[in-house]
Amino acid sequence: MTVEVTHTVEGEEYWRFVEDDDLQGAAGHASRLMAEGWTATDVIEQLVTPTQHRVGHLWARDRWSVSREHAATALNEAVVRQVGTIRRIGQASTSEPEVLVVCAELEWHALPALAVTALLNDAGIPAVFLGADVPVPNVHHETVRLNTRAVLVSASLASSLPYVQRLVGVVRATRVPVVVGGAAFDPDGLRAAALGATAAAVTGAQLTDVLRDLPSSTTPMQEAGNDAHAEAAHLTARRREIASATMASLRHVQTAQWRDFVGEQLPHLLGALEAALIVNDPGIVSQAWEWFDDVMAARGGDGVAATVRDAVCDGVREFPLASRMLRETSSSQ
Amino acid sequence: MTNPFFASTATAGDPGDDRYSAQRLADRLVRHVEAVQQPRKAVTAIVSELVEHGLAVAHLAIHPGTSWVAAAATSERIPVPDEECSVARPQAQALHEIIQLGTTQRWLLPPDSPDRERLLSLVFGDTRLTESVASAASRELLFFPLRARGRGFGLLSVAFPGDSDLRTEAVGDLERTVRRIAVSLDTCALLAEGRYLASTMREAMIPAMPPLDRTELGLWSRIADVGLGLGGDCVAITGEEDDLSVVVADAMGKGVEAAVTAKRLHAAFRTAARVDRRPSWVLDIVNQVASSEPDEYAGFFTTAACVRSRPQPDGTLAVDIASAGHCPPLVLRAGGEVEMVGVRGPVLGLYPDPTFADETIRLAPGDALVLYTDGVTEAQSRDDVFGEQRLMREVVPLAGMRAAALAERLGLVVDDFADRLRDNDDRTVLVLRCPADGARHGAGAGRGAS
Repeated sequence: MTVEVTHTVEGEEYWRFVEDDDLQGAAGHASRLMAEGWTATDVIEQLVTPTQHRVGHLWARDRWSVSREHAATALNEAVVRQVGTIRRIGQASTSEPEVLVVCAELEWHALPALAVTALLNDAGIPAVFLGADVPVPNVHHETVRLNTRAVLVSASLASSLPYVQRLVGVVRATRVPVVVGGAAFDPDGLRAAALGATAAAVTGAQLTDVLRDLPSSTTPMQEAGNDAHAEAAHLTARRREIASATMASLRHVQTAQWRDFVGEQLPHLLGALEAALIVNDPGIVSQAWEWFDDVMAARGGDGVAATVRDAVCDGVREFPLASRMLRETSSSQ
Repeated sequence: MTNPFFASTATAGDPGDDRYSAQRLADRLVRHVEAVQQPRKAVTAIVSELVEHGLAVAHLAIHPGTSWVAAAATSERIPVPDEECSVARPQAQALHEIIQLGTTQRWLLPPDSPDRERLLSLVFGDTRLTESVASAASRELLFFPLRARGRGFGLLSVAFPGDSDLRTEAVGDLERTVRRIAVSLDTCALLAEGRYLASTMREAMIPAMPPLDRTELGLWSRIADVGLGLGGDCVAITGEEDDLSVVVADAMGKGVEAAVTAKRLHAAFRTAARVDRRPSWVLDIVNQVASSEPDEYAGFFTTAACVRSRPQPDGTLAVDIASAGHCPPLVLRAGGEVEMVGVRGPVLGLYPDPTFADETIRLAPGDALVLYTDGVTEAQSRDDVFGEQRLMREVVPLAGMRAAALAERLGLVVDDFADRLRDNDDRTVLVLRCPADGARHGAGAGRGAS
């Protein structure tokens, strides 16, 4: 995984505040730049987003602890809230069109969705932020309660795609267009199309264009599940169960040092498998395992990923399509 | 494709086919209204669809409650911008009068005369819709009152193109369509009213956290009954930062009854705290209110944690806490130590004359007080309950987080634990934190989700 960070003077100064967990300093720095003419979008795109990539990279390399990563993320969130217009859902208009921004269910990092909300408001498109890990029924409730122009779903993890699919179905049933974006999607929009999203956007600039061209309403999804969808749905329903069974089967090979970490990652590895089935893209599985392998290696766990993969193969043996996909992607690596 | 309104050459005017096409249009409109569940979108979709089927002008205005919702479309503009469809007062009077007539009205439009203009502006107001009717050379204006639950609540006004070859049954079919749409629109408007009511009440019960300099506040709250949009948890913040009162309360039971109980006591908390901030005193007054509730509210007990926070010159916060049967608050020290505040007191409304006691704690920079409702500790997974012990473990890694992030993270941890099929209680987490050294800033507290 490579991270491209352009180290500007402003960015480096901001980074030092992040390293020191100095919110006041970071927010003050952003305010000064805005007084010099920077927009909220500039702050987000040039300070917050690159910083967050750097934080993620340091965590993956095991150079930053989880709590340090959380603190830095919370700092970035606070800065976005301060420089951008972030209205609470209670402040949304019930008559004027609003874009609802949500994080995929089970995704805890609110930052990408917060940043998107601020970017849209900065571009003159009224948007409200619904929160992190919002259950689908809550999104539906707000979608029909407000005069919702579109629902924008941010998903950073491929394992969220099964939930995004459910959300797309529920929102489209209310005839409201759904725009998807985030690291879980491909630049060509293939995954978004496979999920039935009305549109996809990768960059902030793309997003404002997409929203301006969006149809005012959409049609409900056609129920056209194939075998892969059915299998993915079963896997999603049993994700936790399979994850705990896999953990149990790994007990003898695992050291305590990695147990929590593997336990946290297993649901995502399984989720990636479901996502790959749903959007018919085995690349999701290989990417997820490559990433896991890298991150384990950085923690001194060479070979752990392979052991975990064998256990997962065993855990999903009742699922023929998933098993085959997992085998094929592992043999190609 | 046959058209529901115009004589068709394709089917040589087969009345069966035409009627079928009118029914299909009605079906589609009703399905759309049911799907969007939003009156403004529903009326816009209806007029747009009608014009797409060849009408020159369609204007639909409904008045389900206290205000008008209107939309229009013309053959040039589908739909017409909202600001050109709003219903002004003189227009409202005209619409009401036509609605009261209760049956379809057909107004012949005298060609190119001041009367024509007057008639049109009477119902459309001073908008470009009048021009559209003129340019379509429409010969008449038709009005279809919308009725549901025994009252007229809206009006569909349409004009056909002057050169159109109307089917004999077109007006009758449109009448039948309007009857069906009216029932769906009425239901849709009722749903919207209910949601508005719930969200307004919820906003009052779970307010935004004020930004403060020397105290951080963070709140995360989620209701179990999403469809209703209301729950029994409530939060009240009163006073200035120098002497701040915070209450987290949880009315037993669920849904509307719990929400109404919570809202009644919410007002009592705010009033009591204005007189005297001592938490035990506030709870005592609120208990008197709760105990003297009329019989129909008896049995809706409420638990509450009441907190008074005062910043000290040394940078710490002096916090007094009293509890009325509420879950024990936790203190999460900056270094990760967790203490349970052993403050007790009876549930509100249970005894007429109980004794509440204040417990005083000190929050040093970086320390946080975590208040929560029983939806947190009683959250259920498939085979387990979250519980106090797990809560005390799960907060440890959150030490050092700012209040807003801490509240949200803890809320998400519990939500993740809970099995959404089994778990059906409202959940609220409120964090009051003494800012870490040098990090004095606004709370910037958000709220998790509705």
